[in-house]
Amino acid sequence: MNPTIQTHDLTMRFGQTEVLHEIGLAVPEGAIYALVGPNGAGKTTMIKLLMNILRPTAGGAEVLGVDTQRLAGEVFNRIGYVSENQEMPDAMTVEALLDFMRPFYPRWDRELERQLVRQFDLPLKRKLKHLSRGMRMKAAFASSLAYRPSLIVLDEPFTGLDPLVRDELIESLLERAPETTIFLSSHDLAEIESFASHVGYLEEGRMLFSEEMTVLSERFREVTVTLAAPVKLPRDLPSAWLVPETVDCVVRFVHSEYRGEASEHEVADLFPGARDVELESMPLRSIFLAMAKTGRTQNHAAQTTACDGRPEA
Amino acid sequence: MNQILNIFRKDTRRFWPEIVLSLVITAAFALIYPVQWLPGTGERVRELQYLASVFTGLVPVSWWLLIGRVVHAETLVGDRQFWITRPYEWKKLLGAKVLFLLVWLYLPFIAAQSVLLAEAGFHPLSYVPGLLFGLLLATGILVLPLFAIAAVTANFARMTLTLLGVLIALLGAAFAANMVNRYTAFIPSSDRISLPVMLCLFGAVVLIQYASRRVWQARVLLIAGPVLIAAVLFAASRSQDSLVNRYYPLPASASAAPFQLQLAPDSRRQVTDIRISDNVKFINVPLLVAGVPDGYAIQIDNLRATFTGQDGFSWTSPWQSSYGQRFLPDTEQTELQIRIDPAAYERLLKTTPVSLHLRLALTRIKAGVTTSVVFPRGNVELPGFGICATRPNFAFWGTTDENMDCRSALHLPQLTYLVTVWQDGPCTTIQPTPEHTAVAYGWTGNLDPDPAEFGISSVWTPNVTFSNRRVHNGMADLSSTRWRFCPGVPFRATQYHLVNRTQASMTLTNIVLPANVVPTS
Repeated sequence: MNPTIQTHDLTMRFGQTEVLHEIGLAVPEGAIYALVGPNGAGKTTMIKLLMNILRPTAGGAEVLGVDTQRLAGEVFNRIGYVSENQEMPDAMTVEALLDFMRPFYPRWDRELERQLVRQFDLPLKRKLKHLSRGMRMKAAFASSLAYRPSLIVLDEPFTGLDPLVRDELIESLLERAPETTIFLSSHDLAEIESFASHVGYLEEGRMLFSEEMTVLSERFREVTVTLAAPVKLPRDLPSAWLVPETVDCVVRFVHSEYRGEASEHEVADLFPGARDVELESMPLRSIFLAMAKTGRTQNHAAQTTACDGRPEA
Repeated sequence: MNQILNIFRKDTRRFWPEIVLSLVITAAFALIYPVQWLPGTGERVRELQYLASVFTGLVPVSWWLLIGRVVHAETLVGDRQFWITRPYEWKKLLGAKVLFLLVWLYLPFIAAQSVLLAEAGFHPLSYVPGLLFGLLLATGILVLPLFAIAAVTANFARMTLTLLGVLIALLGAAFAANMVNRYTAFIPSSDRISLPVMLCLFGAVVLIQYASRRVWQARVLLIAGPVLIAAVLFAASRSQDSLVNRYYPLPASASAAPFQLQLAPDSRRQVTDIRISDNVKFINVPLLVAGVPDGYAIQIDNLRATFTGQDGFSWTSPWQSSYGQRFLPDTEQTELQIRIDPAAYERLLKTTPVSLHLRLALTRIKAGVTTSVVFPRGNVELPGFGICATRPNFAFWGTTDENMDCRSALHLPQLTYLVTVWQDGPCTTIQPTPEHTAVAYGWTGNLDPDPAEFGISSVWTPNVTFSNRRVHNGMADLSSTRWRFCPGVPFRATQYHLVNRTQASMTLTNIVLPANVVPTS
């Protein structure tokens, strides 16, 4: 089965600044793919490249089997795109927007449109410019879901929305999920963790990982090693051990390549005097934070403290 | 087509206030403009004429508003517009914008132009090709440039600022060209090149933007195109010799000169000089004209003069326009006005008399249809020329005299030689005696073969200036006779057509340059 979205060494530079670096990505059909990363990681640029709003400096991408640089016209019949900073036709009422959009889409479902209007409680006679941020986003969702797109692309769709609106929008998305692929960016991990099937982590323009949520959850473990006596952290810790730290006689780190017993033996080998080793699965937020911290402390020595809490000399 | 109509309907609903405003301006222009043809004899008429001028100016302003608003409804600049991720097809989007302009700009404009033609006495259906050509001119000169600027700007405010910048740049370029190029030859084909160039340039900008939204490419083209054209024109103006040779080919043999000029100073007609400023000086050379064949006329468009002094000092002018001086077979005398460098003039004065070698860029024209009428009271239609009438002309000192007033459809009339009779009494005099009449003649119109010229109004009012308007009654009598053009006089209009453009050379010797410099101010 061909992936719905696929990129090959997708690179984007603005002048001398490289915003995306050789991104390789595959989003399978039917996935709910969450592209996460801190602010400025390149998520919005990535989505704009996928939607042919920007043109890549190097590399390429296909969306629904179409080269993104040829993405125009009819192929958007199958794509729904909503962005937090999209400029909507503010002078139109919600009703005029829906009336205007309807003839563009042969697969526009009038009944679904009515259902979305009811579900979102959209005021049809109000102009978009007079709507709250949440209502505007709902109107954008309604006009992007009513034609049952094969792919829904959302750029930070829930930013700045109150939890109620956010839940309504997520609910509407999940209702579409069986028939569509969803690709969304977010820096709010809690909101996507509950429904994303795949996740990609982007930092400073580099894709650090891109995989299924279940695989990711299996791969990351928070490891706590309790020692008999304080030790200095070895300099040559495995690169898969992220943000290692010691507090008193406890060593903590995030294992990013957890492979069951093999990984437990690896820990036991490095800390032979360990009294206890705990390995816990991690929520996405913790994985995200560990990855972010690793990125920021790259090239810096891991912080170590003595068992009494004083900084090690 | 559905998408085109859908976008068109949306734009029409959204921009109805702009549409209404534009329609009101166009309608007001069409209704008020005919007062421009009335003699300005009253305060009320002059106020209406001023209002008509205002509305004439407001028509292109309303276009700027309509074009800017409708293009920016789906702005092509930026990466946040909602429409760029919708199934718009660029050809249909462009088609919708063109349809909008066809319905709300071109249609009202052509209706207004048809109303004006009808008001002026012309049947609009007889001028359909001309009206359409006029729309093409309006497209190349106004609509497409505005469309292109709107296509490369993000919103109406930026478009307006850009437009102001363009206007300032044009004024600056015109000023600079005037400063750099004081001598300018008349080049007959320049207009025929500029329209296709403008259509292609601005059309390319619009197409690039709609097809690919490559904003910087389009902006570079929009800026570089005119700059490149200006550079080419500037370079061409620096090599006017080759330009004149191209448009006025040298004759095959030296004996083919279509007419002759001879120096003709006598006690009353001497070479005179006119000093305009420290840098600008003209001399007038009196000449005898001969050899213009019957049925033809010669028009001098440009001249290039080489003065050679007794000591061998020589100065050659660049090509300069001589403003279409025309000679008929019965023309016997003329004066050539030649612009001369003041420093060269001072140098030549030391060795006067001098010889003058003239290179003339000529247009040969041939007489065509002649219409002879006894000029009636009221309108008379002169075929191929327009509709004319006598009219009382306003004079500031409170009196009126009779003049001739003409209107032509879509462009100035074909170049026409007019001959009629003045009379020095009031037009109420019946059958004035010969001593109270004089022959009046004049040229009007041009040789432009196009079916229309660019103008907001479709009706042109050619300036008819007859000779001998005022004749001084002699040294003893300081008053002058002011002649009148009255109904009932014989009137003849002869159209002239282009035969060819060529050059002629002739040398005049023994020219005495006047030493006294007379400032004209």
